[in-house]
Amino acid sequence: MPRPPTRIAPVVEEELDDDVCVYLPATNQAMVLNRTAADVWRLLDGQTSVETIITALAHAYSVDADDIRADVLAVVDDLRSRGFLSESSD
Amino acid sequence: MTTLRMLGVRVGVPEEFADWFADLADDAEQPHVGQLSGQATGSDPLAVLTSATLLAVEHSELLCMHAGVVAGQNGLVVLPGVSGLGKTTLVAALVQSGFGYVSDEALAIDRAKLGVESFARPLALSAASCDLLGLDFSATDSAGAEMLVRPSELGRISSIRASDVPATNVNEIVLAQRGPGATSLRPGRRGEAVVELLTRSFNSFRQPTDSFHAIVETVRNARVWRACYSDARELAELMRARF
Repeated sequence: MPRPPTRIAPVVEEELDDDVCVYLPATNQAMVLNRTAADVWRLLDGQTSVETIITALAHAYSVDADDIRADVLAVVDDLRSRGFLSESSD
Repeated sequence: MTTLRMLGVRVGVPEEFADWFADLADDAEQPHVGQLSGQATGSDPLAVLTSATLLAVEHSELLCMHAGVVAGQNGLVVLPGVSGLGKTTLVAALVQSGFGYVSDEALAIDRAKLGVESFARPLALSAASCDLLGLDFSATDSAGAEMLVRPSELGRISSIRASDVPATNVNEIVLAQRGPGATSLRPGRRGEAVVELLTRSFNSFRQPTDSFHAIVETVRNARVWRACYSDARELAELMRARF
């Protein structure tokens, strides 16, 4: 089973209107997260699996998990490819 | 040797280029960080300008980002963007339409106070841009395919310092993209402006966290726009009416 992803530290965050800007000082990498992506980001704590995140957000949004799975996975992939996430260790 | 004020520091360049850079008036209160030798610069004013700019960026205490900046009635307008995508031509068109010239190359801000420092360097314009703007492209004033134009020949210059009290802040940020179709100007997302400015920074790596916060606060206090245009003069007129 894949290990839960966890955020790279340190990360600087700022809320700006309905978005959250996240920034990695070590690499000068920044991303703008819309409301949904920010919800995903907040649940990426190194302990919570992606599937659990999908389930939690589906419940919060009152939709089926299958309706948001692709979007959540895309956000996680995007964060990982830009260096904001690593796999946590056991 | 003549001394230029650039990005909050002073740089010396050979005296024969003084006339080209007359709009970068010296400021004895700012630190002198070095000078370019005649051998290193040759006879090309554009090469001198590039070398002097690099020296200034290396020593500047200000956060410097690749952007055009003009002054409107209500404050500064910033156009993030790299060279070669029409930024300088757009800045020139804006100055011709009545905006004050601050810089075609860099938004330079104090990380703590967010005040902006002007950088009124000459503009390098292609023959096509000169034709669009109604300027006579002169081979004698050109450096290869571009002609250097003194800012004072286009319109008024807004000379501001990051140390001014009250500080001159950014009011509008326009994320402009050149392409076919009608000219448009519509509201954009502030977060996108943060990423654009951070991506275009020359020296945010020196104080990365402070730089990020400074950019966020600069954007938070401004309105952000997305513009599409094919004719810089049309966008300049649209911006003049809007801002």
